Amino acid sequence: MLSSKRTKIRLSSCQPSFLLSAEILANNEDLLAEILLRLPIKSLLKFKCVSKNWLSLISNPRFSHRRNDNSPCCGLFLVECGSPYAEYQFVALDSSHSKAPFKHLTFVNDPSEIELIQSCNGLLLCRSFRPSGPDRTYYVYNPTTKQYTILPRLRRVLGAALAFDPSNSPHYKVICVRKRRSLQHHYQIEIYSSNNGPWRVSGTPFTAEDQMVFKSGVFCNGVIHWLNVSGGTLLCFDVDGEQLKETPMPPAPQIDDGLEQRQVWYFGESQGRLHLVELPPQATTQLDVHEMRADCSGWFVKCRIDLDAIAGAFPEMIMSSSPNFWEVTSYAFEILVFVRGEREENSFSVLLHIPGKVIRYDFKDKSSTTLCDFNPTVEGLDFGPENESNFVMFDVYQYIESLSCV
Amino acid sequence: MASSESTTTSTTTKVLRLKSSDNEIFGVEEKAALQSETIKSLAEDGYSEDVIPLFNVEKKTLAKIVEWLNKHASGSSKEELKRWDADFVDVDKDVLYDLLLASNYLNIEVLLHQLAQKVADMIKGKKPEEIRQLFGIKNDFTPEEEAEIRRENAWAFE
Repeated sequence: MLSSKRTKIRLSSCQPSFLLSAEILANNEDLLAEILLRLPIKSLLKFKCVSKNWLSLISNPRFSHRRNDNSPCCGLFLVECGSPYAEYQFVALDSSHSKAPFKHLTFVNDPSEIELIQSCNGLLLCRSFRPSGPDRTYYVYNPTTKQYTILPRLRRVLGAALAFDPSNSPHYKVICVRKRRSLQHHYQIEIYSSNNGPWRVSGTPFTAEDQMVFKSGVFCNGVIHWLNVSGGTLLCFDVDGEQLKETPMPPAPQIDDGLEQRQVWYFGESQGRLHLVELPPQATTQLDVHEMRADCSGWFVKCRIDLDAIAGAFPEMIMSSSPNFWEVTSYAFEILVFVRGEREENSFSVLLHIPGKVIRYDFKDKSSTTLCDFNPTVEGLDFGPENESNFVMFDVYQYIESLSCV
Repeated sequence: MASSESTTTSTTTKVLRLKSSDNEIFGVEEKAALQSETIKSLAEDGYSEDVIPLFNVEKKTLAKIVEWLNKHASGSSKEELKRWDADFVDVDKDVLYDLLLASNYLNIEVLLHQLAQKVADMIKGKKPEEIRQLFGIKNDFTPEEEAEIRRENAWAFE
């Protein structure tokens, strides 16, 4: 009486009893995302046509980032060194990705052959080869979704590198180095952005030595690194700050007999760290693995690969004939990729290709285990199982599953 | 008031009373019940002496949830729990959906992940038409729009 007693509104008659749990579930985006995150990529792509709501959820960059976050490198594409148009071999690093995403880069109908030049957090940078002209077409390709984009054509491009960090932005950039028309050793950086469109000039022209390898750069923590084969320095480009600077190479190894050209055997990124392994100038059974400091100020020796220990477990890598181009080691092997443990910071291993196998070498206990058998099919060479005398070296590109748009 | 002070801190474990949306009351040991973040915060808000009302969970679902909470507070071995969980989620899809909604409402993360995985396993090989049917979703694409998406992702439909 004092206050009008609030009438309890009973909604039972209008309560949507027909709204089944299934529908409530399908309309709860958080719950739906929890389910969809656990689906294989193939199912997700199929389910884009369930409804507009499902399409927008699956296409959302936040969702693809969450989905990608759970996908570390799950395979490697290997292509014979010096034969960029040969068949790609695929090495699966987990059992659920045993099928090769591709064997040849035929995603687009380009009259020229297409080669892969860089893998960056799920996206691949590829280019066509035109023997009759200097202009190549560059493509960004997502091997998971099979989508690609053609970058606007640019003349006198020496090389390009992809900068894509989905934890930072759903957009990628391609940084290219162009030769200046009139001046030798003068170069210009231009940037393409998947967000803002066409190529634009960045900064002023710069000069660099002949030995600078601009063909492909390595992207690591927001910075593109280019290798200088004659040693000395590396060139690096901070993509967001658009700053070009030089960083030192690891200290030159002690050389007994005069100056020799330094040879870098492995230069690559793995899980946010940049690694470099140099071919030592003299016979050795220990290889130093250099890791770049987080602030790009220099390098430190992260660990050593003990070749004798590996050969003890895998005698098939011991060369029977006298070493030729392997002058410094008498073992047939190749560094594929470094792998850091997800949880334990100090767990660190490297995958090596040895005759007929891919093995994992653990730095902590110096143990090596077989990851899989590897019998590459290499054109023009009709050999049986790979052995030390017909050992083939490969260029290596990581396969990381990604839903990211190109 | 004096009487409440004199109550000895009981050595027996405290039991929380959970009430389903259709007014069934379940007694659950506190240790088991607090695996639910929702129940935990309701208990902290002072509901613990009284009945904790769970407006969004029906008794048949709550009974299953209580079963899960008890099992996961029972100190079973990891292997034993794994086997038990596999049986627990092996239910009809409507029960599965109800459990998923309830575990979301009650905020029981471990159970939510188990159930989401189960639903994902159930739907991963299905066709889009089957998904619509399973979740009662209306296809709001025009035939042209749908054909376009299918064309863009043609390999996924192989």
